[in-house]
Amino acid sequence: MSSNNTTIGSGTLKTAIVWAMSVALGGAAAQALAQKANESTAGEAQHIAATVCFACHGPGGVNDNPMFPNLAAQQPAYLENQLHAFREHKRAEPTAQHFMWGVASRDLDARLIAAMAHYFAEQPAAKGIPGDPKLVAEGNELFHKGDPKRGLPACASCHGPDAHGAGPFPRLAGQHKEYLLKQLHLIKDAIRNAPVMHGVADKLTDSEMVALATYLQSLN
Amino acid sequence: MSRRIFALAAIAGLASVLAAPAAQAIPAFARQTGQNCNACHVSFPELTPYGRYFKLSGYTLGKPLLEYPENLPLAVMAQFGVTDTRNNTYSDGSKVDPHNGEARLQMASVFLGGKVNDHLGGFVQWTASYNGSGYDFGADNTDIRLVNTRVAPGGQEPDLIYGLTVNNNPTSQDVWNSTPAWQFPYSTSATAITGFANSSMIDGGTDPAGNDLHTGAVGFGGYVFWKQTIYAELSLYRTDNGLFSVFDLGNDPDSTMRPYIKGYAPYWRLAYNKQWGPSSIEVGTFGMLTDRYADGSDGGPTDRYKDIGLDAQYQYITDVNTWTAQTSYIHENQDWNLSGPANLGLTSNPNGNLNTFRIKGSYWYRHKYGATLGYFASNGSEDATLYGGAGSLNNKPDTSGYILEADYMPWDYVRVMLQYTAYNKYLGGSTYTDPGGGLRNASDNNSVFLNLWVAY
Repeated sequence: MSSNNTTIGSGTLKTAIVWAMSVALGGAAAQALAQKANESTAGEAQHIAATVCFACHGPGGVNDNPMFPNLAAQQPAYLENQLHAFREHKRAEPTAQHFMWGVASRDLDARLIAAMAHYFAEQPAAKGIPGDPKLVAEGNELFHKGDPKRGLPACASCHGPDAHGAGPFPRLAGQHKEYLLKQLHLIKDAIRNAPVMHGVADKLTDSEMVALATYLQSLN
Repeated sequence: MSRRIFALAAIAGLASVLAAPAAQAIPAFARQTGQNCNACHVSFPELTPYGRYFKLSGYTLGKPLLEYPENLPLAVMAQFGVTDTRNNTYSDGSKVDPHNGEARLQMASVFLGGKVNDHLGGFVQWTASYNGSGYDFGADNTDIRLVNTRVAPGGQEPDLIYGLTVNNNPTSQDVWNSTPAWQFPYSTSATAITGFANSSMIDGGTDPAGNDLHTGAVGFGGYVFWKQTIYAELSLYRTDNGLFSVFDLGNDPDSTMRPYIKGYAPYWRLAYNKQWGPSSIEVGTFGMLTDRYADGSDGGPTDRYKDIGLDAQYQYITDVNTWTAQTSYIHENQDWNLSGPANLGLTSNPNGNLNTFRIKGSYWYRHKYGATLGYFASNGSEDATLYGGAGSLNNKPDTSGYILEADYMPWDYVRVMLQYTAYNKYLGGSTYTDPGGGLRNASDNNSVFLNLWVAY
């Protein structure tokens, strides 16, 4: 009886072990498949970066053309938001329409957008380009302290003390001065939709914008 | 009945193209990539660095046409123009341009173009062009490519683009606007006297019997673009008869009149390319060696044209200011074994040479307002029959002049252009004998051309 019980028990045990192993194997296989899918998505993203994005943004998202932003080491959440905004035609300044609407809607879906953002976030950042020391000092001051009298917050409070960005707030360090200036003007003129920044850009004078962009371009 | 259905379908098709949203309301490639014309063009047809990359990669960026059927792989283009020639009357009272001062459709084209898959793409253009009394309809530029882009494992950009092209006009496959097919002026009056009195064969010139290469040839080429720096191509052009006559459809209804090329004419191209910031530069050479039989023959003696060209281009492109410049110099050696005194007698000499030079600079403000200044000059060896017979007083083909052009692009698929062409020399000097037998000044050929150019 007991041996029968044992038999039954061992049978149950065997079944349980087989099930457990199946589940484990299945889980491992599923995990492996998922990983492979991720790898292939990552590979696809890298391929798109190297055959489409590179043409304007440069190899690895670093370029020397002020028309097109550096993307290397950019915050992935920010990149994702922007790519979705291009795809859904919510970011609508002329250059975005001319170049990015098509790329984001023809070549990318949500899965690839995440992978592209991840790819560029992982690339080594563009090196800073030193600028006029006076402008750099002025930009540095404004970036870290803002101007409480005018209700101008410190840029560093969102973009980080080293301007490397955080989550949806973009990295600005090492970005092209001309690109930064253009974006500040587009935001000020409400051509680029950025509610948080609009209130800030509104308060900045043209010369303050130049100082900030010069300072930010000089950072690594 | 079926014709009516076809017409209805064509109108419906056209209507759907015209009804497309503005950002996509531009030709087939823009619909394929979803990008704006000025992603690829400074102003059509001048290419930006991205446009060159798009063409070299076989027009394969974006969605394949079968995956995006709503984006018709069709495009249309038309030019409506009016010309005023300074002295429109020859010495015998006949008119240079019988329609001087009349607005008319200069040309209209239909394009079929797109990406077939990641490695295959191209376009075919059919054009109706005004010939002074009516319209000639036939195959125009065609370029079909099979390409591969190699990215090294873990690489961040292509280190090699290589491909095959089939096209029907030497240099139409080129991506820089300093070679003949796509060089300035990008459009000229269909009826006024424009350009050189005589051009080299590779530059759209004609043989002594009056045949050019643009109609009548089909080329097969292989090219490589290495590290975005060195471009090398070798192509072979042959007569587009038999199976290949599709590349010349409509242009020459009487196939016995085709200007036959002996065998395969080699075409080569080597170019150095560099980009930095918003600037890019190209310096290169191109050439072709063509042996041609008499009209309608595919045997017997031939003329030989050896064309060697040097070219360079500079572009500076930003959102606000764009500067571009192109120049080319072509030297042609002509060996008239067929046309010369020994055979047809269309030339006095057994050989000759011709040099042509072009340079232009353009400025564009916000991709909307453009101004271009161009200069052109040619000289060549004397020939009493070929050039003297055409009216040259010194038996030379020498021509020179300049072109001033102002452009306005209210939308990137509409261009209004005002072009002034002025001649210092035509057919050898500042005066020549006109077709009526009297003396004509080169500057009598000066003309103003107002043109509306639309591409959809």
